[in-house]
Amino acid sequence: MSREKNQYRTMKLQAMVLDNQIAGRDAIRNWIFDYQNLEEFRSPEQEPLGNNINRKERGIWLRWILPASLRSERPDGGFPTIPNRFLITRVSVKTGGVHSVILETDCPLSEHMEEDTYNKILPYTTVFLLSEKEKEMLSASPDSYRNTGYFRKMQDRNGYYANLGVPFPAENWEERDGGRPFMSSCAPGNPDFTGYIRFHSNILAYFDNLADCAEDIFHYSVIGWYSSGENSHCFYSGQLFSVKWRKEGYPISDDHDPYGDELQKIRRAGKINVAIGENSQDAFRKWMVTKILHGKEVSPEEEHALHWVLASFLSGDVGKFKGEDGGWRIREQLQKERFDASYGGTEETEELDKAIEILHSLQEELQTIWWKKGYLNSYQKFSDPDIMKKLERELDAQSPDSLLMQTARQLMKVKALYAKYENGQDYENARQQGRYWKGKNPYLLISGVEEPEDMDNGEEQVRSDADLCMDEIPEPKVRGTLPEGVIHLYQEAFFIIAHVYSGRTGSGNTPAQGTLPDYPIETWRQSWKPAFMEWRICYEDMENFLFNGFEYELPYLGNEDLGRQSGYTGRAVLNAHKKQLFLEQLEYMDSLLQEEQLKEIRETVKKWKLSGQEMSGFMEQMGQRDCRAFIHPADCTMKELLGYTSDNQPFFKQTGGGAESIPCIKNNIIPKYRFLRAGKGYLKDLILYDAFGRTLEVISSGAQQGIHSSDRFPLIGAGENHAFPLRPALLQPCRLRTDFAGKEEASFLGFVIPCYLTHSLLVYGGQGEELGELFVVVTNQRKKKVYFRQETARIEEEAVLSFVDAMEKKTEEEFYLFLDAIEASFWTMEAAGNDRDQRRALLAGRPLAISNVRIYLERCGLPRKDYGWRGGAETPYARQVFPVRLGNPFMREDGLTGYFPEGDFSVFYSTAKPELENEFVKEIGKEGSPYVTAGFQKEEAPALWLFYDPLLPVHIYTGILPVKRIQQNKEAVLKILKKMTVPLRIGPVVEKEESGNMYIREGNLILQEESENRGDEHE
Amino acid sequence: MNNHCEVNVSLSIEGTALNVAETGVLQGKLWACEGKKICCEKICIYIPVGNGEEDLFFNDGGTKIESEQCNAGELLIRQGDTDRIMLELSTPDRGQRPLTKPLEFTITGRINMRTGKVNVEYEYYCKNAGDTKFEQMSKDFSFEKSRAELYLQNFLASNSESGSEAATCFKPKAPIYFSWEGNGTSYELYTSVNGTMKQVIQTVQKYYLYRDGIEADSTFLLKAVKTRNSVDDINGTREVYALLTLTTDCPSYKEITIKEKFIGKDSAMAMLGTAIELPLNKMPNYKTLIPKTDGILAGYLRPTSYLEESSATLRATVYGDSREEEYSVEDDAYSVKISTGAGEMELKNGASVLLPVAQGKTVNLYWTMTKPEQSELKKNYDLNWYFFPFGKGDIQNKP
Repeated sequence: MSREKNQYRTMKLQAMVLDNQIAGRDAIRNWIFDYQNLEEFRSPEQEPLGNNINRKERGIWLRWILPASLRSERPDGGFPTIPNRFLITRVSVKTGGVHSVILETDCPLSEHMEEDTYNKILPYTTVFLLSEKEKEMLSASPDSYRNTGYFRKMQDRNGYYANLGVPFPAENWEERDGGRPFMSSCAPGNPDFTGYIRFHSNILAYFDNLADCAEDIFHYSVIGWYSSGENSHCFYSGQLFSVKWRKEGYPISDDHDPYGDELQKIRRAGKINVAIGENSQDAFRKWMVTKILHGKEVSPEEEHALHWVLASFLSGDVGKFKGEDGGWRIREQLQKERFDASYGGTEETEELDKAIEILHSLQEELQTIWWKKGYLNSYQKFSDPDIMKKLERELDAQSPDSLLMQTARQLMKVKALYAKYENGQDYENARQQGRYWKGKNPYLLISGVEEPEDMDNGEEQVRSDADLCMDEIPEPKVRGTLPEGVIHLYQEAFFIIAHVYSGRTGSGNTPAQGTLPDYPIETWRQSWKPAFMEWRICYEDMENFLFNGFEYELPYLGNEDLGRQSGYTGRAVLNAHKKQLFLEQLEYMDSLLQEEQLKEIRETVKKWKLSGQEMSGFMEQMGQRDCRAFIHPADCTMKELLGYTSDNQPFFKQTGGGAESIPCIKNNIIPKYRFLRAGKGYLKDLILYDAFGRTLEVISSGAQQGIHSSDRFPLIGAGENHAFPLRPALLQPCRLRTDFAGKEEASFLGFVIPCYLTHSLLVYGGQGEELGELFVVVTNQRKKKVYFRQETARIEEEAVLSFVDAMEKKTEEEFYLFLDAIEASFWTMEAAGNDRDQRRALLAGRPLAISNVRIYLERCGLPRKDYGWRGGAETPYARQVFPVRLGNPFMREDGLTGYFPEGDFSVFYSTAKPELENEFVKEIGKEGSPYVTAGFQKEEAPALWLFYDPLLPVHIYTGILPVKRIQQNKEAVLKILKKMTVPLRIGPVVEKEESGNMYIREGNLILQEESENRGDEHE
Repeated sequence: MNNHCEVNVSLSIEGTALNVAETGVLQGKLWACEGKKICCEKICIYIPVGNGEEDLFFNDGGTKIESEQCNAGELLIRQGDTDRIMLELSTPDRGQRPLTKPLEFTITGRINMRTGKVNVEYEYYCKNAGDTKFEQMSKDFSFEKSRAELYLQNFLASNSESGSEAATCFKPKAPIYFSWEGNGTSYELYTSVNGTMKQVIQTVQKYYLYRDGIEADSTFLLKAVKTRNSVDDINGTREVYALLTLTTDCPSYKEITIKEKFIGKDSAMAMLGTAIELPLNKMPNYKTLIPKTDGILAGYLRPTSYLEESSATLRATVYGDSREEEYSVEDDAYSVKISTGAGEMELKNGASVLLPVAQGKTVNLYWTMTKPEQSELKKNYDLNWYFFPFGKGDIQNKP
């Protein structure tokens, strides 16, 4: 087997000096990912803003950031294995003294260790969760440290806990273990493993205890490699230059800060601003608007306009918002931004999709019951026997009605349907159903801080042996048996050290041979780039959100009501993606701005210090769910029922997943049941900390002072009393269904065309066949009457007939009001297509389709139950209804004229305002004409007869979901329209029906009695 | 077979009682009996929280446990109407090896308002070295809550946050960092202005950075307030005071510039100088001023947004004098050059005028703004006028 050539990549090294001054001044967030909590049905993740480990250690914390390729998820969903050996070298710049250790990251604490060593190392090891296989591999190692390791078995499970990461002196070190490296850049259940030192202490971070050293300047070098396996030819290195150490620390003032401490600088300047929004775009816009308008007085309209300009800019398609409907499209866009979408299935597989949705609901309920039981068992002395009994009933495999058995039956059903639909079938071109939508979490944008280097996923430098920089300078020898690649990097490190400290190599210089590594060759600074935020929001429901027909208006936020608030907390990884997005959008501005201007703007934007993140978990907590890591069942049947099987069969890939969260039991209390978020929030606490845990309290409600106190700080995006609005949004994914009655291909009941010349309404069938004409005649009793002149002998379209019958009963005034309403709606409608015949427009209006549409809300899965300890009863959620507005007369691209409720022609709800106040035609949404309401009960859903231009979309507004557009298939519509003819009857003309009735049109005022042909009497 | 594990535990406070409405500190310890080797898996401390007599801390999420040797966690437990916070400490190796030194920890929290006796449960899981199973043991500790006298002391001023040296003499307008010690629920800081006391800040903190500084010798008064928060607080709201007098080291210096900001759209403009301000309501495009002293009039016009093309012109003329004395600049370019007679000055993103004026001469100030047609968004300006008098006196508006 040929040996692969060595590859050299670089790591970024960071250091935090913890001297007496800093340890006394800065709060350090110290918490571990404690897998052992799992056994008590608690999350390994601590409660946000919770308790700390407070260590008074003095020294330098080192951490290394692996190249992006080792930190990124692979296409198969796994994560790359990371090096398991690190040579850490500290060089004293003053004395030249060298101290090296080798960190064996997969070495457990063990019996083999001396008491002293054990106690010294213990606080810096990382508690890791090992699989049976990994534990067996370590136990079978020839190395006495590994085969006597302390492995604590998980209760009822095949996992083991072990404290990993042991440093050994580099002198005389040799590889004692031939085992395969197994640690990846994502620890079990912990994707942030590489981002925080307490998650990876002695694995990707090392504490250099300098309690015995008073003062020095140090150089650090870290070299990483794999002890064995297919990556043994890969080596990693990083260096840190001139790290100042003085145990007593330095008194820091404005003009004297030897560390260049960024955190202290931020604290002194106090220039941190926090913007909160209903979503990331909202928060970013609010921040931008505040930045642009700083110190200026502008009207609310101007401010609003600026929001829209930014919204269209950030959408990446400014052109989309041009034209008369631009403002409405922006509003649509802003509304959509408030929601997250999820897959809604296809029309062809609806039966299977629905069954899977129900299965997932049952799985979530079952997991909740299973989890609650486990939790109560762990805290038995506080549990209520009644609750326990109730939980056990649902988990009873002998009872057919238990939740367990319901879930089992549903799983069988899904399996059967899966076999029917999926096996061997291709649904790639299936017609997609509308997606489900759920309200987004609020977003926090923090200006004044930069994102951590861990987020840098730029190109990686890969060097070979020939690229390494070396010359004749002899490096101090590391005795021991190290791989060749490590020795080379070690030599290079000392080459660079010699050149840097003698001033021979700067970051821009290139050595005589080789390529300089791409880590920064510059003096160390005590940097601080926050990686995490922890927050607490107090939320209060509000009932005074008003639906204005298009969205929910922001109400007066009123005073803070501490009695009715719910508190939610969370932790999130910060990033700067909004700034990146802004920069990306600038690329599309090259047609509007000159290159120089663009360059200047780009440089300015790059300097923005922005970080932010969604307050993930907020909406989930409102829905009584906790998204932190949690324990899965060990029992195989339960695992399969809950969808937690690792089986890679296509069936489980398609249908599996199970519950992704556990019941939110915050401090033993399950939050109040809600199905809707509609209220206001108060940001009470916000802390930021970097990968070392160094913390900045930005907002604090407690006695300890943040930069801002929670009741006084200027939160961008918040209104009176520092409250920010959280407009109505459903907590369970839902969608608005518009089911058309009738045959699948033709969802039209019929068509009408108003005829201006004859003041009549031509009526057509669903396929465009001419049925007749409605117009006003005068009876021989000299009464005006709406009359239908039937074109064909028999009309089969019963639906259209019922409309015609109803119209015939209308008065002349009502009929004309109806025609006027149709005409008025045309004024604001855009002509579909450019080939509109202007002459025809003078004579007749455009064809309006009539469709019967049923409007209701549909949840993804079963209605969510109350997960509280005694919950589960019927909630108002099931019968909740919401106002829905159809059509938008202010938008040119909206085709709705109006609608009748199905089978009820007493009122026509018109998009246009009728000229006269009347009882027949009423403007939608005005007094006496409320919006339609839609709920979750399909059977009770209102069915409406829509009159609309089938070539234009109809917009449906709910405020709790994105704006929905109904758009007919244009080709199918045109096919029907082409069949339609518009007969123009210009009177006075006498017409005779088969029955012998004679009619004279328009003002000739005579209706012949049967068999009396008085046609000659017309004028 | 396990032998009973003998362990010592303690939970103590400083003094004999805890003071209501203050931060309470409990010191905990666990150690092996003489000559014994024990392993400790974890410690759980159950503290009643809420507003009742039998509750120790408020149930405000602010209860903390800290230890150098252990990992800390917390959980609130509700049983009936009682809330108890369980503070958990686990050893990093969950008791794999015997303790070599006592386990020590500190609990802090805000004591509630009610006096009374409270019970704290101390639960610990230990075993003798060599045994297999951990034994669960517990012990109860009780503490007295009583009321403390309100105090306020060490009211000091210093130059900066880090400088701990107290000072009494400051440069005019230099920031002053006040700090104090006390046990009030809130504090109010006042300063004397024209003989009356004006509140500077009301805070719950025990420090305040007074960025405005002082211009003349000033006396500051600090009031500590303890509000009546509980039914058994018979004393009601209580207050104590502290006084501090500070002097300036350059009392003759008097700054005359005060800034105001205006927005171009409304044609507002003002004159700033010694005690005279022009009205801020709708202004014509010019203003006439008569200085009572020689001085320099400076105008600075700065566009503050660049959303739309437009431009403004700033002019100042000495009334009745020849046109040559008109100074005008336009900002229609990013960079403009203006002549002030004293040389050329390059300005970016704005325009300014410097005009020497003589006592009694009438000065007309002009400001015009032009806007391109079809422009929707307006360009806004900050406009500041400053008057630097050479002698005593001020300026006044011409009626």
